[in-house]
Amino acid sequence: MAAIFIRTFIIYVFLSVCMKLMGKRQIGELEMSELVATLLMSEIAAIPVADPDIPLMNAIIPGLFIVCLEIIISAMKNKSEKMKRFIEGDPIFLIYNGEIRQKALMDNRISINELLSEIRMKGIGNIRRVSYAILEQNGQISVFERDNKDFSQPIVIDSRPNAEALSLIGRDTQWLDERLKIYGTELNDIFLMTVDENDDIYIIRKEENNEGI
Amino acid sequence: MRAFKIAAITLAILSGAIIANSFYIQHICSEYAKRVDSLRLDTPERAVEEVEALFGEFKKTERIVSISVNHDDLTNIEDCFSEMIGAAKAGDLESAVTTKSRLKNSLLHLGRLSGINLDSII
Repeated sequence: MAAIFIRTFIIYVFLSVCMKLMGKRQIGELEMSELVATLLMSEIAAIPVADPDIPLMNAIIPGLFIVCLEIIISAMKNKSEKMKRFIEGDPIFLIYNGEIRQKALMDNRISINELLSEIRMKGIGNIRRVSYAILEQNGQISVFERDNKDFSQPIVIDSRPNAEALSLIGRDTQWLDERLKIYGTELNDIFLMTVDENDDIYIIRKEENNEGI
Repeated sequence: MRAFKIAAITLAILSGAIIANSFYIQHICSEYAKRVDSLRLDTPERAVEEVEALFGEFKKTERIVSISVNHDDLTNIEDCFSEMIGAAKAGDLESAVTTKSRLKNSLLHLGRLSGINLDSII
């Protein structure tokens, strides 16, 4: 019994350190890879707590491995847009500019009742008041009303043009290059660039020591 | 970037340590299996002496081995040693020889499962 008690304490401390290393997102809303890592960690950690015949290393080694893998994959996702899309997918517009995208609903197995329910939970009783509804990568649905003019699209993220966002607003990379010239900046200097419905552009430049991850 | 480098280095060290541990356990099990096989059980006195000596050595190695090996498997091996010693002390050399075979197979089995192969993965 004493051994189980000490093992439980060791595993508890170990898990707390692992969660701290993986970041606050593990506690808040989880992306898919983070959910998988969290589930695996809890299962693996429980095994030697319950069975004293199983060495502690059978939890610690796999746990450390998952933490390292999670950090490496996160870093690779930030470096490679393709990898990020492959692992997380993209945010998907379910309602764009007031129009319900029925194919997007079907592809993501979301019924109209679920969509209406999500909209109601945001305090909006009439779907006609919604201009944008976005299915985020963590499964949550963000909703923007017509009166809300604060909605903007990220067209450049960490020096990389967001082709899909440009396409949605009916623009292309040529238009982007022209805008960059007007603002006297280059793609490599941009951390985030957004454009709203009035074509107002907002730019955040990279800090000097920002390596991009 | 720093976190990535630390994670990558840790992963590399972890992988190296796991592979090294796997080879070490396989080597230990193989060595002890050979030594068990070469035990002379012709007389009860000699059998007790040799088995007890080998058991003593195994117990010293067991501390390191038990970090990564299931305790049930080690308990099984210890039981075989104890049975052999008991049988030899009682003069029952036939049982001692039977247990010797079981002990050798247990060691080889443990070595196989500790290695990086299809058996251990499945």
